[in-house]
Amino acid sequence: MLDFAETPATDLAVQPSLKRAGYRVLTTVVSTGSGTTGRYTIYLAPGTSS
Amino acid sequence: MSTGGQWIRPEGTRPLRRTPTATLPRLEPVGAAPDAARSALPEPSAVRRAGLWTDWAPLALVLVVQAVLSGRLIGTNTAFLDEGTYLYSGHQELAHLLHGHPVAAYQTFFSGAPVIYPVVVAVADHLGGLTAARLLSLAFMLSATVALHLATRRVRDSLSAFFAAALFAALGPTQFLGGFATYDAMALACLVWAGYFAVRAATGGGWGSLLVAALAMALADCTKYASVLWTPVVLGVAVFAGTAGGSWRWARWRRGFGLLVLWLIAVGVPAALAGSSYLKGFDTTTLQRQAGHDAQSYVAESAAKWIGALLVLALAGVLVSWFATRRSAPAARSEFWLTLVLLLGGLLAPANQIRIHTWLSLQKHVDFGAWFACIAAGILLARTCRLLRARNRTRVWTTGAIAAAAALAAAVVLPLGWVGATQGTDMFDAWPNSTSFVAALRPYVHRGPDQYLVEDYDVPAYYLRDVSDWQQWHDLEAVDYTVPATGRQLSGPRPSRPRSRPTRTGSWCSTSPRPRPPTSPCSPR
Repeated sequence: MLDFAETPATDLAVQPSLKRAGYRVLTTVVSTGSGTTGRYTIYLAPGTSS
Repeated sequence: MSTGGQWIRPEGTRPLRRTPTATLPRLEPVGAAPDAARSALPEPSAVRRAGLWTDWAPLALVLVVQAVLSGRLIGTNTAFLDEGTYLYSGHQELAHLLHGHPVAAYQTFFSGAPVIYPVVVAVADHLGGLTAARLLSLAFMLSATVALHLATRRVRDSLSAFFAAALFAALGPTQFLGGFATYDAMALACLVWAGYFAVRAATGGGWGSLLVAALAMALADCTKYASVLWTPVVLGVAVFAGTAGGSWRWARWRRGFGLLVLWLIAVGVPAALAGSSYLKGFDTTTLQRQAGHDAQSYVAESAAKWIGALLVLALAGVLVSWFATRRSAPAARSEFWLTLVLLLGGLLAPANQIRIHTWLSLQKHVDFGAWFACIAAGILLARTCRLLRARNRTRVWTTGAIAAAAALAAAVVLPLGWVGATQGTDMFDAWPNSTSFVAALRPYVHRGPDQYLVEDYDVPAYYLRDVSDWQQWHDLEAVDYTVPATGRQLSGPRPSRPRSRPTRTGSWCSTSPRPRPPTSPCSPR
């Protein structure tokens, strides 16, 4: 299994490439608890399952 | 001052006698004007023992306030990328040292020796987790304040020492570093203790103090390579502190050269033993550090926001010192050169980062120089306090002096502390909390053949180290890949990174290409 976690800027930059390569979004996590909001996306590599 | 062509030694330059009641503060000359007499420094033989109410109690008050201001930050956010990096690598280094486990070649891309701070902080983490690791930084920063107080007291007096320590504790970067588990706090502590022992060497400490100063400075440099930037400042302190003759007297410069030689030996021996991979890391991360893309005005503005007020005070201290000593004996004039060196120490980090167009880590680096500038600023505030005290022929810590000091602290130090507290909070809020992310990722992470590609993986790798091995984590900075069909090893950095992104505070973080981070693309580094 190849997972991929991201922060927003790079997420937007690499997302098209990942989708073209067959990655699919497993879940997206929005962080809370501090003054800064973070969004993490976990991808599954092609051919793997959760 | 000359009378009829005869040089008259200013009152304050006379060696002060050590009295049986050595803990009493020294008597002040009559008058409030900052004349030559006031500018004089204590002779080495006149460095008195610290008193409970003149030194230790005010210092304890400052330390308590500093501990509260930094301590409140410690539990407010999860590990930042750099903290995760050092903690995670430290556990690997520790396992390598104790059990011979394999370890990544951190020395090739860390900007400090991976066998020093990471190992120390890994032990703290082992004992008490991230909180203990951050408390370790708090201990380092509190010790830096103690060193500042001791050094300033030797350079000048107790009141100057109190103000210097209070100013340092009030700064936002100081509060931030006191709760931030990276090598900066340890390197800063080692550097400033070197500064203290340089002062001590110049005020009666002798060659033993010089040796300790050299060792502490070398340890600071090995802990964080960028500490070497302040080596000339410590050398300058060793030369110009104390009152043993004029500023250009050979005895002063011999002390400076002696410290330089000892430092070269102390830092050269481990460098020679460390090997080429360490030298490569030093060269890549420090000597050839890639220039950023931040506007110079933005870097300068940020530095001004954090330590601008302090630098203005230090500059005023230099000017007042020059006016006060311009007609006095050469020995007294060394105070001017000393305060000038201290001010330059405060300017070094901003100047260097303006030069290379990078904002990264500035909020930490400015604190290294701030320690030195605080001495000059503390001396200025003590002078001002005496002016407020007017013509009072009494000891320093009389009611009038306390009232004057309190008024000055209320007028200068408290506003700085208020702003600094806000800055410290903002700095600690500059990265997102990773609790929910790590919790979401945990079910998918298992020790074994699975590989995980995570941008800036050090934080999840640190939190998930109980269920994974370090070889399973990969990031976007560099990739190693073995082609299954041919067995060919492919490796190299990624070709490009996104330009930059804003943080919550509106600042922009450069994310230019770099070797593999000992530091993060965003905010604190």
